[in-house]
Amino acid sequence: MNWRHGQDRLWLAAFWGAGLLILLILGSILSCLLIKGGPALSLDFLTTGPKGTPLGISGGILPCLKGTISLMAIALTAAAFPGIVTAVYLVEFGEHSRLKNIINLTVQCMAGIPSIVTGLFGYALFVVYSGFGISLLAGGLSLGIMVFPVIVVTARDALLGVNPLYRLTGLSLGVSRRYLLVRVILPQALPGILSGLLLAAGYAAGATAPIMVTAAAISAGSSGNLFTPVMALPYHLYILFSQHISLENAYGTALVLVLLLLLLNTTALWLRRIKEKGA
Amino acid sequence: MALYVKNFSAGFAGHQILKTVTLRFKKNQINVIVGPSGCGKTTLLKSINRTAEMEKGFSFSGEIRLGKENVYANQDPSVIRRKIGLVFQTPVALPLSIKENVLFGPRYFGCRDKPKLATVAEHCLQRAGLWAEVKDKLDLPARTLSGGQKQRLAIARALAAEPEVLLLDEPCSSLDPASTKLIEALLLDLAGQLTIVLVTHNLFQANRVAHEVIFLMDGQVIESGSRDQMFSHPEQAETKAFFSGLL
Ligand SMILES: Nc1ncnc2c1ncn2[C@@H]1O[C@H](COP(=O)(O)OP(=O)(O)O)[C@@H](O)[C@H]1O
Ligand SMILES: [Mg+2]
Repeated sequence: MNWRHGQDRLWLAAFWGAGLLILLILGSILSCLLIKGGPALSLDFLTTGPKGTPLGISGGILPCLKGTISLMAIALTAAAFPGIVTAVYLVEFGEHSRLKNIINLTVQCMAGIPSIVTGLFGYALFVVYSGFGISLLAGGLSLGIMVFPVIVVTARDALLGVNPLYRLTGLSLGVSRRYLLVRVILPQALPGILSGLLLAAGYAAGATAPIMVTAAAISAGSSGNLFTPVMALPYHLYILFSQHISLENAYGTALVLVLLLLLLNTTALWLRRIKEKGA
Repeated sequence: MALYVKNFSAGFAGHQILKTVTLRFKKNQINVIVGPSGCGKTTLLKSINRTAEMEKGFSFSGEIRLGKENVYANQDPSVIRRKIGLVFQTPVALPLSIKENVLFGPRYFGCRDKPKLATVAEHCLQRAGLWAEVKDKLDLPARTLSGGQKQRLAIARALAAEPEVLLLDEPCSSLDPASTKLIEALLLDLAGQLTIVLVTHNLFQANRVAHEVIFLMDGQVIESGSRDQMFSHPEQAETKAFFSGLL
């Protein structure tokens, strides 16, 4: 009896320890960024472009922020629809089909491809073959390929999470699967699907490798032109750091990137909460 | 409409559940199926309105007919599902308002006219004995209803598809006695308008509402007949044992 009790406490301590460790790691990363990058952070930093020689030794990161948001937007625009449709097929229509297994396998494989390889593929397909050049569009589409499996998997889980009795009940009334999907299943899965899109957006925003070879420039205006190179937060950060341009601005940039990701992820979490509370 | 099951066998992934079942459900009567749990009652109901085929590995042989129509003749199962409604054991409220739950079928079947839809909703809720309780909160989410109300909502929703047969799978098993009584009264009201097949594990309930009783065991029909005959003079030894609570 006592031994059991002791064992329980040991496990409990282990769980708490693990939880604390995670908090500790996250806390240290954040506080490190805050301490080292906080001083660089200012309204000017967010609203002006990089200045000085070498570029970035002073000034801000506005074009990088705009570039990252544009890349993210293009990636989502390109991948959201096909991703959600694929998930809907997997869960709602492909029940007994062979194709379902093939798609599942494909998605799994795509998720396992290193992002630099996706980048190289994007380079071959979009930059060279399609003739987009090193550009916002080529980078956005490459990121789209990268986040596609994330969207499929999160949307699939959101759909699978819908009470299966809704399907049985709905279909037993003699309505079509499409009607049931539109009126019941999709609205129920929506928070989960949106939350997945936000996770994918965060994944795209932080990815450096794919855009290095398809989109990113050390310096570029923020014209919003699809066919010109763009600056992006993670790449800017990489240059500032690796070329010893400005460690302080590198940390500042990192802080902005992490805050952006935190914002996306907490919104995603919040959306999922809504779903759990709902019907 | 009368419903015929002829030499019907069914199972999942090669495991046979129903074994050459032959039955007739009488038109506009309450046909009650009783039998030990796991004997295939739910599988039989799901086979009749073709929801069983949604499940993995389902296969069947034999025939089920609604009047003259072969239930499995049509490629598209939705046509027959509309004619043969099924109310499940667990009360399910679709995540919509009370009114939209009832109108879920009619809207799909093409009714667009607002006053007509309102009439349909009221009429079906009336028939399900729920109208008085919900008439002032039709637009509230259906999940706010109690279990018994949800089950009557499920009946209203099924009726709104204008079925010729209504199948109910232990509809009262999770309900309190008062709700159970309401549903029994409701079924007695509905009989005469449509054919009812009720599965129950409650012999008292069977005795209260049945016109016809079918005793199913191990995927086979052991005996069937009118309520009085089945309760007073069962012929088979298994039936006797089951009805006296020995099985
Ligand atoms: N989808 C399914 N796949 C495999 N076996 C099933 C499935 N549904 C039911 N069964 C099995 O069929 C048998 C009869 O089940 P069921 O029809 O639910 O019985 P009852 O409703 O009389 O309790 C049980 O042994 C059950 O495990
Ligand atoms: Mg059952």
